[in-house]
Amino acid sequence: MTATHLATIPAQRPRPAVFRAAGGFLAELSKDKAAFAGFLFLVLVVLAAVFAPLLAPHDPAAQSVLARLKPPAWTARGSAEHLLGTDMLGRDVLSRLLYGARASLLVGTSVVLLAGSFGVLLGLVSGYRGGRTDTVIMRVVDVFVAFPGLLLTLLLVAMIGPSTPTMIVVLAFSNWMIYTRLVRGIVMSMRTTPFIEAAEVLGCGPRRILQVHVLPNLVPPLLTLAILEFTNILLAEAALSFLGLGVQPPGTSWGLDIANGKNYMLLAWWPITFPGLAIALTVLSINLFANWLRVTTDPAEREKRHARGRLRLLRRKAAANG
Amino acid sequence: MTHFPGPLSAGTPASGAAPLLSVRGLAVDFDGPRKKIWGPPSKIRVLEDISFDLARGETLGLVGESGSGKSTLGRAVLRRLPIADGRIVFDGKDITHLPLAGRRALSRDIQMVFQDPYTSLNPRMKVLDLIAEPLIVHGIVESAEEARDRVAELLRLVNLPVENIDRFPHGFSGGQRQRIGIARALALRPKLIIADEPVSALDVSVRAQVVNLMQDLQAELGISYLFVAHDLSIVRHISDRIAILHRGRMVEMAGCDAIYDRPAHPYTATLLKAVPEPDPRHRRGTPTAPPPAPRIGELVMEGGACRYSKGCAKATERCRAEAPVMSRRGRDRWVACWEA
Amino acid sequence: MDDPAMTADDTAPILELRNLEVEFDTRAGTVHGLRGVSFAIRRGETLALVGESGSGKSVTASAIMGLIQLPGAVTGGEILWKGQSLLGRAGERRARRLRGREMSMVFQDPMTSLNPLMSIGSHLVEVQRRHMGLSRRAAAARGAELLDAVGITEPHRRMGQFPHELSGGMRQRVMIALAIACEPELLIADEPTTALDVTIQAQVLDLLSDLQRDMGLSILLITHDLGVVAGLCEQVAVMYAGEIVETGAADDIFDRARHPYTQGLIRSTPRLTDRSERLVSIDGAPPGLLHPPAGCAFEPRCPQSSERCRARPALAAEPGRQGAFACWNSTPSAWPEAAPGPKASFA
Repeated sequence: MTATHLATIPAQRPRPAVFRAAGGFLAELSKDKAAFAGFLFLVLVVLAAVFAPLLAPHDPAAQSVLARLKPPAWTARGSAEHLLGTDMLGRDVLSRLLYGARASLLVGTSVVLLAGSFGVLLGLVSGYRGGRTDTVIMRVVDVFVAFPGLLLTLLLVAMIGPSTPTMIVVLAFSNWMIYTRLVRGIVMSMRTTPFIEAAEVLGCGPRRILQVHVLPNLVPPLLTLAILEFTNILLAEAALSFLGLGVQPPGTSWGLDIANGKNYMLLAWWPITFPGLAIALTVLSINLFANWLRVTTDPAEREKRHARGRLRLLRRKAAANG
Repeated sequence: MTHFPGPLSAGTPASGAAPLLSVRGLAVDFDGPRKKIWGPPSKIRVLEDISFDLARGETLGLVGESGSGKSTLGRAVLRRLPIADGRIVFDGKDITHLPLAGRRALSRDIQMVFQDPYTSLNPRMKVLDLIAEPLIVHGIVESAEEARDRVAELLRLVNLPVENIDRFPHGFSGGQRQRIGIARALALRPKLIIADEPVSALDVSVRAQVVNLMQDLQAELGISYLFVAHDLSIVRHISDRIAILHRGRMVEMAGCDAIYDRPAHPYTATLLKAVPEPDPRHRRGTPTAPPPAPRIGELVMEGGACRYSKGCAKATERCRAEAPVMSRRGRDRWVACWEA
Repeated sequence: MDDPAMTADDTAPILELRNLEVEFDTRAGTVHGLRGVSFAIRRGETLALVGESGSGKSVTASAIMGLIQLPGAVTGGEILWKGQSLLGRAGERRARRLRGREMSMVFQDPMTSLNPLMSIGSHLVEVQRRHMGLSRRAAAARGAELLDAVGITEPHRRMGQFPHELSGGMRQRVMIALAIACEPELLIADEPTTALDVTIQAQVLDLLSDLQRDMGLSILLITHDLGVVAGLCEQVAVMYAGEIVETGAADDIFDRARHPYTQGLIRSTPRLTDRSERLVSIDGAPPGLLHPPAGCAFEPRCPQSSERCRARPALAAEPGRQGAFACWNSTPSAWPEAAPGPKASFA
């Protein structure tokens, strides 16, 4: 009897959980217009970066003296060949924009992953071990935080020599502390929660405690932090490239394009406006999306949002009837 | 400095046999503020000179108010805290000084049930994973099917429907959650369970369910309990003997009926008087003389005096000058009071 | 209270709830927190609202104080303070004026309701200045008197201390001093002693009892422990699954409860005089309020349920006795006397 009983226990799943989760995610996201728009824009940027070679009408590095500073297609002197015009070397702005997304996403993602994993690891150790280990790690963090980030970055790049990999390592080197601080704080407060003590009493070692009990509870705040950090890295990449210490020609990046276009700003607005818009819109979209994500991963906030929506609906109905 | 000479078997049901747990002169210190910035932290003695025996299959109720050290005592026996003085012998082995590996091995024999069933279960784990966790970390089960079978068996043991195995804890009531907690503690088949106020976070109406279950399990599996409680209202039903703790010291230990019918220490009498009775005529109408309870924070921590002497109606000069030690009164009663 | 010759003025309730309904809009659906709760408190009366967690007793208190927050909302019924509604736009304005002045509240955990950065004295001064318009000096003098009244020694020294410097019982006394500072007519105490040690609990209950007698205060005590009720309250209302299942005078409830749930609660409350090995309990758990049962909510746990229990019983008065209960087949004792039999052995 027991055997048949247990055999019936496994839950039946009509659809793979991934699809169900994705469907639910989109359904809930679509209720928040701003976050949904932000999410769509981000998907667009990612697609542009991935499929840049297929989408770009020209080679982003191909120069043409004859086609210098052509304005966008919709202006009087514009032509359909260069939709967003060309820069002072005759390179196609649209193509450079599409390839530039690659640099931005590559740098942003790798820096967040690198800095995130290092910072989280140190935070876990620091928060869980406590005592002397914690003191040492946190003093190191303090030193890093106290040192001006941009100065450190400039110093290191100047020493090693500018290139995209260097920029990634250097940005990760000066941006891991925030993860350590966040994780350490949460782990310390979790360490005294009864379910961690219960796991210890049952004989779980530190490794299992951190992996099974602590880490899953860190995912929501870390996800939000990582996304917001991504915007910082995006801006830092643009700044470094603008200063000539990041992506090197013939590579492209939004920041590099702004740097190149700034000398001709009064002559031609388009080589600088479009990469600038791309940076601003991407950062805005990420913030809108991250804000939505933060609310969604907090059960209490999520219930409040739901109730507020219901309340609005009821009021609107009442107004329509009255 | 131990004041319990010889074996303390008197009053235990299985007198003659070696006790499962034997504690002698136990003291525990907590870190206090540092006297110098870089100096070592000062020590605050939160448990002092605790001695008792616990037989196999016996339940000892540990009763005290906040600050009495009752939960600290439970955690000291579990060896989750450093021992400042004294000795703990469990199942014939001295466990006072154990390396980390030894302490983890000890968790197979001594388990714990926690006070708050809401926060002591990881909300992100299913019932199956919660109860299987001890079996997995101690390498007792090899396959997922085996774990599932063992968990189903444990769920039946604590009277929970096996269908619940894939649910998350938030769908359960407090009483049901506490039964999940008990199933986790039972998974390793421990010899001793330290129950740290297992029912005080539950509604009065479901406390009985949990206490009755614990009694059934004891009858079936022969477990010993250290049952920690903050008042005397429910421990009578489950305990064989009761020990009263006050500000880190044991003040009285006796058989259940002796404590309730003839409390010897004035503090025991105060605790008894404070339990609210579900009977309107019991209190109302009669002038409610405030019990001579100590105001916590106003009692002195002087080593020289009885720690209860300030709030005690019976206190004499001797009480204020010299701390009483546990001494034997009758066959199964120990009291630390000059005037009792 | 039992005197039939009382004047109408004295017996008019200061607080009355009529068929109050509170709903919580959750993503899983609508949770029916209160499903038609009615009771009244008269001047100088102490009413205990007794129930398990999730029965709606704390929701009731929050509704009276106007503290229901999203995702919850009052969706039906009335709350009347001396005959005037506290709901709706005008009612909520009225409620805001009353709160802390004519009615005040003491919570379970005094630490979370005191500002850790404000001294005890500042708390007391602030509340009196805001609600009574006293000068700082007068408020401070009266604050010390209040602390003395709630049994705090050395009130002048305590005024300068901060919440973390006081013990739990002391903090709860401060909370009570704050609650009675404006001489309210109604004090709502939500599990005021649950977080306290038993000896301190006894002192706080005695204090509430004294205040009730000396100030003519009405008290609404919210608790899950009938033992606490017995010493303090004259009237008892028992809640189960968002509704009141029995009301009556405390003596009647303890001696002759009519609802099987009340009887079960009384039986499961431990008594020191009971030396039996086994405790009695009400098996099972209350129903979820996401989909409340159509019939009697206690039916699945009831020892004497019948066909009729599929329909929801209304709270009905019993002739010749004060109070009311909601049960179709009430008997003096619904529960079998024998303790539950031994459990099936574990193979």
